[in-house]
Amino acid sequence: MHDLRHHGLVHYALKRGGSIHPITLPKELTGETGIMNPSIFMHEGRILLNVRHVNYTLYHSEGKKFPHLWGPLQYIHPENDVSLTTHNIMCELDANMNILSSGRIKMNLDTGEPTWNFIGLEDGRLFSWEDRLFLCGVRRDAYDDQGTGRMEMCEIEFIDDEWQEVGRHPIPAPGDDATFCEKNWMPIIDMPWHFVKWCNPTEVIKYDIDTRTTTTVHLEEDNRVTELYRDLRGGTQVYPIGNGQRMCITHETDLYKDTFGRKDGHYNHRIIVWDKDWNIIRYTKDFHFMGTQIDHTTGYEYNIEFATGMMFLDGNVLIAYGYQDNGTFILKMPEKVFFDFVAQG
Amino acid sequence: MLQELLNEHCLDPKNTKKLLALSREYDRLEQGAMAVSLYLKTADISDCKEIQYECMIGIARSYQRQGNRQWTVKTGYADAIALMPHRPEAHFFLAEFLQELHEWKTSLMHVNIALEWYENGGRHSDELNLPGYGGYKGLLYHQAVGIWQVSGTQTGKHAFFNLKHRYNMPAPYDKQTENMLNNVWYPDTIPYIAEDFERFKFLFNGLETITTNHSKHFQDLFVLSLYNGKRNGTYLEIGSGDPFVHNNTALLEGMFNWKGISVDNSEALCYNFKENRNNTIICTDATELDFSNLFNLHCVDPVIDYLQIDCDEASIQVLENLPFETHKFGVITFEHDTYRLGTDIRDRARTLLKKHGYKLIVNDVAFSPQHSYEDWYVHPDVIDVPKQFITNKNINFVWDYFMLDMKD
Repeated sequence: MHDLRHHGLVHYALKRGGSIHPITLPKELTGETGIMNPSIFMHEGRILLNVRHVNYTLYHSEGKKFPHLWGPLQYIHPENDVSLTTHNIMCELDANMNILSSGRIKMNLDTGEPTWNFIGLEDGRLFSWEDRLFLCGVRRDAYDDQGTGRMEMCEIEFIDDEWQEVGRHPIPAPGDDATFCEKNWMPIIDMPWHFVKWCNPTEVIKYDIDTRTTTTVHLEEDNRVTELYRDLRGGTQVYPIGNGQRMCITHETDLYKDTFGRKDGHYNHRIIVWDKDWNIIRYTKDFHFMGTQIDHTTGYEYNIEFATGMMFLDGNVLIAYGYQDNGTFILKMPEKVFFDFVAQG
Repeated sequence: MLQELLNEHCLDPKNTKKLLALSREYDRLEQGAMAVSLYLKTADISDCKEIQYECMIGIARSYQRQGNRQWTVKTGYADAIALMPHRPEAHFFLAEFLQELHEWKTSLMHVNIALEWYENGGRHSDELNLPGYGGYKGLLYHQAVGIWQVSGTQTGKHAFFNLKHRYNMPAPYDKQTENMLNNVWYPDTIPYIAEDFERFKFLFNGLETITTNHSKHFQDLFVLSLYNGKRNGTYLEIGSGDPFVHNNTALLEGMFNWKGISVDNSEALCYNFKENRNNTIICTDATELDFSNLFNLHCVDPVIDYLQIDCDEASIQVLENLPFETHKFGVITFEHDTYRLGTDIRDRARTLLKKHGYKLIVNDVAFSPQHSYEDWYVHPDVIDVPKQFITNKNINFVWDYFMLDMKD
C-alpha cells in the first residue's frame, strides 16, 4: 500500500499519471502573504478558482526544531494589525491550470465597520445553482463583537471586466439559530439550495433564499460510522457520481499543545461517498496531500492543508487545496485513478 | 521551472536538496508565504547546519519583504546566528534590517562581528544561496552608516569618504555611499595615508617616507610637491591654528626641516604651539600686524617659499597688508571660503595677486566636489610649475586633483 502518511496523495497521483500545479499570484495583489483554501469550479465554460488571500503568513515548524518566538504554530500578522482579514481573489484558468486572469472580487455590499476582527468571507466554496454563481463561506464580522459566525452565500457576476458581488445571503443556522459559529457547509452541486452541514452523522439542510430560513431535511442521529473517531468536517463541494451516489472530500483536525502549552495542529483529509439516502457507504483512509512530519515518540502528525473545492474535467479530477495557509495547489488525477483510490477504501 | 521543482519535490518529499531548491524558487518568485513554509520544512527535515542556516535567513527575508513583522524577522535571523554564530551572512542581514529600524548600536555590533570573520580569513561560500548578501564591502558600508548614526562625528564621515574614494564599492553601495556622503557632508579633513602613495599624482623626494600628513586638504603635500621635497625651506603661516591638527607647516618643519613664522590670535593655540613646535609663533591679530617690521625683526629673506593665509573673513585684509613690493612668496594658499562667503574675497585676492605677478594654478580648491574654499598660487620668478600641476577645471576637488583614478 502506498504510504499516504509520509508521501501524500500528490505523490500517489503523480506515480499514476496525475500532475500537480502551483498557483502563484502577483505580489502586488498579495503582498506575499498567504494564499490558501482555494475552490475550483466550472461555470459557463470557464474554469474558475477562488483563492482566499489573508493578511498573515503562517509560521509552522512541523518538526519543532525552529519554533517561532511565540510557539510552533503562529499566525504572523502585521504588528500593527490584529485583524485576520480575508480577501477573495478570483482566477480564471486554462485547461492546463495556467492562470489567465486574476483579481480581487469586488465586495460591493461591504457596508459599515466590521464588528469583529475576523474580517471578510472565509473559506468560500465556489458553485452555481440555477445558473447563479455563488461563493459560500463563513462571515464573522457582521453579527457581534464576539466572533459569531454564519454561513453566507455571496452571489457574484462578471461585470465590467471584474468579478463583483451582486447579492449577499446570510444563512441562519437551522432551528433557533442559536449556535456560535457555523462553518464548512458543503454545497450539493445537483441539489440547489441544499448543503451538507455535518457528515457523521450526515445532516443536510435546505436554505430558502426567499424567506431566508434554514431547515434540516435529513439527519439520523444514530446513523454514524463509528470507526471514524474524529469529526468529519466540511471540505469541497458535494458532487453526484451516478447511481444516486454523491461524494466529497472532508477534513479532520487534531489540535495539540507543545511542551510549553503552545498550540499546534494537524489536518487530514478523507474522501467519502454517500448513497441516495445519505448513508456513508465508502470512505478512504485519511491522507495528506503533500506528506507530513511525524513525531517519532508520540506519533503525532503535523501538517496543515485544506481542500475546499474540486471539479471534474475531461476525464480528470481537479482538487484545489491550500498548504500551510500559505500556498495554493491544484492536484489533477485521472478519474480512474481517483475512483480506484476511493474504491480501495 | 517552479512546476518542475514542485514535481521533483512531491515525488521525493524527504529529499532536502529538492525541497531547498523549491524553497529558493518560491523565494525568487517573491512568493514569500509559501517560501516560509518550505524553508521551515527544509530546516526541520535537514540535519545540515548550512542548509538550516540558509533556510532561517530565507524565512526572515521573506517576512521582511512582507513588512511590519519585526519580531519575526529578528528571531529568524537570530535562529540563523544561533546555528552558525561565526558566519557573517545572518549578521549582515540582521544589521541591515536593524538599520531600517534605526537600532544603530545593535546593528553596528552585528556588522563588526561579521567583519571580524573576514578579518580572520573567512570567505563567503557560494554554496549558500543568499541573494542580497552584500559581502565584505556591504558590511563596510553598513559599518560606516552605523558609526555615523551612533556618533555623528567626523569618524563616520571619514568612513564614508574612504568607501567612496578608496574602495571600489559595488552597486548598490556605490550610490548609497555617495548619497550618504552628500547628506552628511564631506569630512573636515582628507588626510593622506601611506596606502595613497600609488595613486598620488605629484611624487616628490621623501613622499615614500610620509605615512600621514597634517593639512586639512593636502596643502603641505602641495607645497612639497612643487618644491620636490625641498629641505630647509621657509614659510609664513598666518592663521596657523593648532600646531598639528589641520596645520599646513607641521610636516614641513617636522620632516623637512623648514623654518618659518606662524601667526594666530588664539592664546590657547599659540601656547600649545610653543610647547610642541620649534619654530616661531606670534600670538596677535594678523590684521593689525606690521609685516614689514616683522620681517625686519626676524631678518626674513625677500623670498619666502610658502605663504599660508587662513583667517576666514579676515583673509583678504591680511593679504592686502602684506609687503608684496619687498617680498615674494613661492607658493601661496589663500582661504576665501567661497562656498559660504561668496566670490568677493576670492576675486579681490585674485586681482591683487595677479597685479603682483602671481599665477593662479589651482583655482577654487574644494573639500568636496561642490564646495570651494581656497585658491593656490605660485610666483613664476620663484618656481617653474610643471604642466601637470595646472588645471583648467571650474572647481578642483582636492582628492581628484591629487589622486589618480582607482584601478579595478
